[in-house]
Amino acid sequence: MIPIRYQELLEISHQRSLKAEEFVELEKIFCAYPDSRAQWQEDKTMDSLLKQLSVSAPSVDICHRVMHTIQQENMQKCARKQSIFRYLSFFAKVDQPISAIGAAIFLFSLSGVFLINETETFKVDGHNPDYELNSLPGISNSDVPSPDVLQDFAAIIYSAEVEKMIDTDLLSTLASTQ
Amino acid sequence: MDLSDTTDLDLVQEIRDGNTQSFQVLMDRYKNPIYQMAYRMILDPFEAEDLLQVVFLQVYRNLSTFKPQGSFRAWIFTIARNTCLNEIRRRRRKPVKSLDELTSDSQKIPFQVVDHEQQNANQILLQDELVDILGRILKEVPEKQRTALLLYQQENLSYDEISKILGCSIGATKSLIFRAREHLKVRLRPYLNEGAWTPAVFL
Repeated sequence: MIPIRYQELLEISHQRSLKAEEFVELEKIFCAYPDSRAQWQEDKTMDSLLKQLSVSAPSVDICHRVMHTIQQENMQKCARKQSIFRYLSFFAKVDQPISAIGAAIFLFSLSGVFLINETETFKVDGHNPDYELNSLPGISNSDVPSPDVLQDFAAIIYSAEVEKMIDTDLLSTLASTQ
Repeated sequence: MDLSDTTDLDLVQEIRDGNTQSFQVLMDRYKNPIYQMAYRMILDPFEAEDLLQVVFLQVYRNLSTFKPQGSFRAWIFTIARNTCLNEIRRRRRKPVKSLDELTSDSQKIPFQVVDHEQQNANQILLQDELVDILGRILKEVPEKQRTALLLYQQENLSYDEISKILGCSIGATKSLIFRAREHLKVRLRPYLNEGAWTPAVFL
């Protein structure tokens, strides 16, 4: 079983050349584990081959093609922005911030909705006295008696009641006997 | 202005400030490694190039989502891998027969051997052949293991960066690399033991 240090030294050798003391360590491992020398050679061969493994480069104009696509996308974005600004300039100047215009539109529509809502509520509830009075059928201002006339309303009612309570037969009998 | 020494994070900041020239520098920096990764996953050089273009466009569009405290290298490779995986899934749903499949395997593989200057012609030929064999054996390795191994060996990414790209733990990443290497070693051993390809040739 090759020690862990062997693997560590192999990993170090992938990043940089081994130092003198690390070579000494490696030699000690080779002496202690004779198979490790062949394995080291195999590993280093593998590293060497993997380093040499290379595919052909991409086309030279690949970057140019990407840049061309990016520029086209940027131009499309600019055109889209300009069309939005043109639309907004119908309401305000182009250099004004869009947020301010948006806020103004929002407040305007909010107040409109509030006003419409208030009017509708008002019509349904009918709290306006003038509206209520005019909406009652068959009653006009001329039919309503003045408050002065109605001041003795209770006394008049009472006197009418008193008149009903008088026993006219008894009074006539008394008058005939006299 | 020379931007070749500028760090990735500085370039990203400049692109965010509207400097598209910095994006050109970033593309020059990453086009080869990402193309290689895409090729290894898709195994089609033309598709790999198309995917490279898609990856760069996605990087540009999503640059605002990149967090500067992270590694840009890991971020761009993650986008590249996810784009390739999407392409692989799309192909499974709608398999397309490429015209390249009609050509022989050896013609199709665009492997190249680099840095031959100090070796004699015989060694070069042997090494070319072994690299070619390795490239073919590499296709047998599962995608995750292959990607982990190549990011580690060829792009020199750290275990931490690879684990973020693959979406697994550092331990799992080490295990993927180890298993990929073991698979390659076992499959290459018969060639190495033939005598012609002595390990000393490559040391």
